[in-house]
Amino acid sequence: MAPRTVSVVNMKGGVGKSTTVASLAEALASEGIRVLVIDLDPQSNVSMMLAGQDRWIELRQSSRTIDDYFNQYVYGGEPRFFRDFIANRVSDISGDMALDLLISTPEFRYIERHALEKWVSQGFDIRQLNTRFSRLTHSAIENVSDSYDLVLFDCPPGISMFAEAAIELSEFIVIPTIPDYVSRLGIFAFRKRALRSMEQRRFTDDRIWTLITKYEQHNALHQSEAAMLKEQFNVFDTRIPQAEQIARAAEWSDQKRTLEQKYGEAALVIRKFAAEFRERAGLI
Amino acid sequence: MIDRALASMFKIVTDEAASNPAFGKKLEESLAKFGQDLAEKRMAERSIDGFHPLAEYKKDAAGFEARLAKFDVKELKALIAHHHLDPAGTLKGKGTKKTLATHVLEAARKRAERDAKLFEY
Repeated sequence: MAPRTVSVVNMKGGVGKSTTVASLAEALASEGIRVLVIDLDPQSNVSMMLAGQDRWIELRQSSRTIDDYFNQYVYGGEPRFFRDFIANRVSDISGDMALDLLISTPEFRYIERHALEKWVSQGFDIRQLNTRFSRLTHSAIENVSDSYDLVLFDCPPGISMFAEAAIELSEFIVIPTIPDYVSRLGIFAFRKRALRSMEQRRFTDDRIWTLITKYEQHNALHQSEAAMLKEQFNVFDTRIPQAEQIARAAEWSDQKRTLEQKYGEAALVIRKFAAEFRERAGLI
Repeated sequence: MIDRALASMFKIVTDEAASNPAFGKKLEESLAKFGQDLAEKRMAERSIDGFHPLAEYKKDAAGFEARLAKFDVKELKALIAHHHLDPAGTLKGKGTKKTLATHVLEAARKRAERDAKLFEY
């Protein structure tokens, strides 16, 4: 069975996209779901969170990054299978989890620019380039489809061509957002694009889900905006709280730990979110 | 450290209240008033809980004013404060039931119109 494909995306930065991807992937993998995380963000945050700095450096030195995967199509060279770029069994959570990762590096931001320069000079237009990136991403996922139940794309803020390709490929879209005015604007800015992609594939907008993050339950603004988000969009019942432990969990631990040790009291919320996500995505 | 500092401070206050009846009375009145204000504020907040002006307006714009009429002045003030409906502070925390209700209605209408445009963003 083909894996579920989900993009985690928001035009706005700092809303908790990478944290959502990392914690969701870990919670699901700890429940036996086979997860592949693909980091499309040159900030490499989810790569660092899930692989740790040492392994990230090793992967980079052995040319097993998303930059290297796309590089072979931009610059040519000996083709390698997509699966050869993937780091197996990442995360500092204890237990035998099938959680794999394709890391990104800060250089990933240049790939798009170089690809544009090269392919535009060869006569391709932007639409054709989009199609090309989408096909490359699609064939990459096909190459590993038997190995995973879920592929999670961590998209960069804004809309890069890679993020576009991920959206084109995704069956579901999760938009993490802080319940405040500017973050809500980020959804409006992006939603239309996501909607168009969904409609082209005859999907309905109930596949675009908003996740409230960094929620402060005693903050009147957050209460008011959260109610508004629920009114306007398809929102998860679970709200990810603003919690020190979640921010601390981002830093790699050399010692393996349980999800509860890693996320503290917030682990309960993360498990609740994972359960809601599973139900919505049909990952039973 | 802080627990000892607080214990010391409260002991000074309680000693003074016991030995100085005028101070004791003033303290009692102040605490009673604070308690009453707080209870009223909490009651108003409970009454408006679940009532989001913009959502309610979108649900039924024509009937919105009638639904606002069930709130008293304190509740309308709580509604304005909770949903930040007076960002420029024009009401200065005052107003009759009618002016406050009109203010909420206008704010909800403007926000609904603004948000509708955002869907076309």
